[in-house]
Amino acid sequence: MKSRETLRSCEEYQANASAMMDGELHGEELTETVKHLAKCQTCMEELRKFQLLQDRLNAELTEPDVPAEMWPKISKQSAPKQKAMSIPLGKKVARIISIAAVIAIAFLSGYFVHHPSTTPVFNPDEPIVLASNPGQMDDAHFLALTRELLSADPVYHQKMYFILHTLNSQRWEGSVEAPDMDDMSSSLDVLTADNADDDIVFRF
Amino acid sequence: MDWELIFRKHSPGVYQYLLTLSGNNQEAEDLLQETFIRAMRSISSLREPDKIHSWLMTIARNLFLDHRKKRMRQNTDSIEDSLTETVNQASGAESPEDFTIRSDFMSSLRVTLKNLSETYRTAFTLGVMQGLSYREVAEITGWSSATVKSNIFRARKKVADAMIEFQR
Repeated sequence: MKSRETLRSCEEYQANASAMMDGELHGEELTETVKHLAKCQTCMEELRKFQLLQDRLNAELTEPDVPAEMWPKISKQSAPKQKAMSIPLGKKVARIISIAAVIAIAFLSGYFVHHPSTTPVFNPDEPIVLASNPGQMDDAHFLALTRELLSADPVYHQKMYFILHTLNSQRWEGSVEAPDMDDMSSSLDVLTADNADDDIVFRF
Repeated sequence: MDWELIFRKHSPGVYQYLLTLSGNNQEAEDLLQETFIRAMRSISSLREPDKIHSWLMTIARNLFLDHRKKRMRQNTDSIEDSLTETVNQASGAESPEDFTIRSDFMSSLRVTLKNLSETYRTAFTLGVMQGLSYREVAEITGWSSATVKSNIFRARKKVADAMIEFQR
């Protein structure tokens, strides 16, 4: 009976020799291959060629230098897009704040332009005329301004309420579409709540 | 995750692989860039962080194969005659004579690799040039362990035979 070794072709032993060089041959297969190599000049010569090639590669091959400008490009392309708002509020709240910003512009314009040196007098019968440039004030600006107003004059919250009340009365004029009243009701809820997740706490 | 650190550590190996596969500096650079952008966007799919190198190589290989398919469809497929990045960047202090010898070896390697099929180029680059384990090669290529062993052997044999003049 032929031994197991003789059933393998030299090519199989050469494949094993290649794997042996890579440290991927173990156990019985390794032992058997070593035995074969010891007595087969052809396979031994093949192994020698593999080894010389590997030595040459090890001596001469270096990893290429990656172009220096590559990382900044990747970093720039992978950066998440800047969100429009710096405050992480929900979409609905963001919308409400935008509406409130428009209201504030109207309110402030009426106060500072038309009544610059007097305490504002509110006439419930007089419709509110909205500013024609909604969206010009960003949310952060609006919040900062609102804070400033509230800290300067504690009755401003009443004035703000007046505006909201006016809106609720459906007396709305101007080129800006009237907000959804359900949303505005929600906005009151939001504006009276502390938002623990954000730096800014609304207390109207 | 410090992506800049990951890039510095792994990009040379990925770049070398792409250079060998594509044989074209510009294509390899574009694919390297795309590899990392894709990796950063799909990091959640990496289940074993210690296998990040294999994972990056897999992305690189898939991108290369997709890219090559597109090019073949456009009937413009031609392997450019340049592994120059791999070849020329074997730098260091050496005499002009040394450089000539080195250059001859690397030039010959470049031509040899260019004439191999993609399968053998991959096997040779990953298993022989980069010394990845057979398991890693299997993960990257999707080959069975027996196929990995066979492909590496055949690729090694082809290169060794083609470069016999340097085997002394």
